[in-house]
Amino acid sequence: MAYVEWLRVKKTLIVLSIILGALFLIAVVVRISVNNEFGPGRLNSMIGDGATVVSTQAVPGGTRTVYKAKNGDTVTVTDRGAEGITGIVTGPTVDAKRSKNQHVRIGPFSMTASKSEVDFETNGPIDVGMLFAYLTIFGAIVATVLAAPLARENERLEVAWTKPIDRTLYALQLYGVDIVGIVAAMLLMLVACIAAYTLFQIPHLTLTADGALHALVAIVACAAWYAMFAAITSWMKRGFGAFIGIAWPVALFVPGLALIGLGGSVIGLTFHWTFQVISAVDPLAYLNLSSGIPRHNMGLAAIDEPLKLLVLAALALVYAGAGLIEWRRVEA
Amino acid sequence: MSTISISHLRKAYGPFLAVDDVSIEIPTGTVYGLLGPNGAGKTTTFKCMLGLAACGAGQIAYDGRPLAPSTFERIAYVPERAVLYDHLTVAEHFEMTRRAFKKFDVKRAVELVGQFGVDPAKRARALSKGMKTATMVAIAFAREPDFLILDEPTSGLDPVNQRSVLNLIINEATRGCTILFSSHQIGQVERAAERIAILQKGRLVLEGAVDDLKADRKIVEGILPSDDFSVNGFAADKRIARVDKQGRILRLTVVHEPDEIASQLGATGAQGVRVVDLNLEDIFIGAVAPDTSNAVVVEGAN
Repeated sequence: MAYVEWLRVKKTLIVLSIILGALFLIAVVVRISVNNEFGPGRLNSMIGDGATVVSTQAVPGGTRTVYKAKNGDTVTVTDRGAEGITGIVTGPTVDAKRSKNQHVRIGPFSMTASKSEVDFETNGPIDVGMLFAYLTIFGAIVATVLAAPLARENERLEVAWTKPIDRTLYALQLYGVDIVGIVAAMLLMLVACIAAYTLFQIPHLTLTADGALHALVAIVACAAWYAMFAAITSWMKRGFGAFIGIAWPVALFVPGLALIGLGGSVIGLTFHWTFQVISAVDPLAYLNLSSGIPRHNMGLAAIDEPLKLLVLAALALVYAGAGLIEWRRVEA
Repeated sequence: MSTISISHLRKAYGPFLAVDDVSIEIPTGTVYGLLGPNGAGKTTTFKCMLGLAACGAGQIAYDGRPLAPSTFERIAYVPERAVLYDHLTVAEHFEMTRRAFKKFDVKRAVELVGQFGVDPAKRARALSKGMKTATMVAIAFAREPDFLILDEPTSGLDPVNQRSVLNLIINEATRGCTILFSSHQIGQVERAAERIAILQKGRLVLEGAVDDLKADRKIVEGILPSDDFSVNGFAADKRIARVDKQGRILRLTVVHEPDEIASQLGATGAQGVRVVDLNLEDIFIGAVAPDTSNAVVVEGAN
């Protein structure tokens, strides 16, 4: 029944595949152009001029080299080629560090500082679930492209509503096809990211329960975003594109405004709570768009993932239901 | 059996009553014409019949059963406005229909659009208005439905293709399909329809078999001796349904004994008195246009 919607999804996925294919080709070109940087001694520039090699020995899958830097630091680097690099830094630079016991992880790159040494790794495990969750905004963009299927049908209700299917079931089929399309698009993007990464290092993919939860939150967030458009537009016969266009800046600004407290004054608190309430119904407000923001400044994005999942699922259901109820009341 | 039954249908848009207490019974295998001027309520009636608009009151039944999603397996509808998906090709519309309905003959659909000169590989946005209509018609007929509801099915088509659609309608009826269609082309309705209903301002003003309506009524016309000749005597006559007087020309719509009325008119000194058979256009205009400029009209006096 949802053949036309399926064609729309297929077309969107084809266009997306072409774009991702082009980006992958660019990544291939970049990889070829920086090939020298990935040869032996690729860390020499990192360690600095004047460093001397103390010893080199073969280890399974690569070599281990000990460098003595000009400033007295000792850097032990185990280079396993495409499997990545691990290293240990000891010496005066580490001793002089003020902050101890730091751990920083950005995707597969990590650095752990203790009292006596700094360990680093360039190709740590990648949690596929977490990586998928990073693609939420991308999924939301695809959801926007596929949004408002019911409003699109409003121009042709004479065709849509003279099919031998209950209208609710028909609408649910349209929703279903689009949600599958959004998830498929996110998976395509995920595969493209991993493929591009593989050009530089062989990824160590894992899937943790936490990562799976984040991935699920990402899917539900995109579904809620998509359903919100259904709720806003399902009664419209034309002009719904403008609403969809306006929704993005509004959805991104409202959570930001909710963070403004104006020094805790009455006006400030009123302002804060007004936008806090509005942002509660904005699926994008629940997304952690930047890892650099302290948790207490993240508003709704800071709530725990299980609760976030529940709230977003509730929003998705309410929006989808509202869209459906409105749509059933439309007349041709 | 494939009977359509509309009973006391009523539909209002705010204060505007689009359909007011319309009841029609369409027997199996009948070609039924729905006529009416613009805004008479024809399209609204179709929409209510198909659940595309909510009825204010009344019932619609197909073979005695109310409309349900499964009923659409047996109904094909061609709306007044060709509502194709612009980005899809004609062939993709066929595929969409094939997936949606248990019965759809793709080969016949291709054949039909071929007759109308439509290329199935073309996207809908590239089709002319007539081609879009032809595509909708082809899809409807290739489904071999039990009920065909056609709202202006020849709109935008050239005369040759209009004739083709009429032939299709007649052929479908011989197969046992019950067909309800509307058209502003009264000649087409006269040619294809066995029964008609005429709507005026949402109300059913005339209904019956075309042959009976024609046989029931005759026109008696003549030229009166003077402009100020009084027609009150004719207006009071129960055998006369309508009196139209324009200058010296008098047209009487007679329901009984037209020859007798003609004699009476002749006896007044009127010249050129004759009895004329009604065509559907006369019936239609008589039903929907009681007021004509510069004419003295006594409508439905009897």
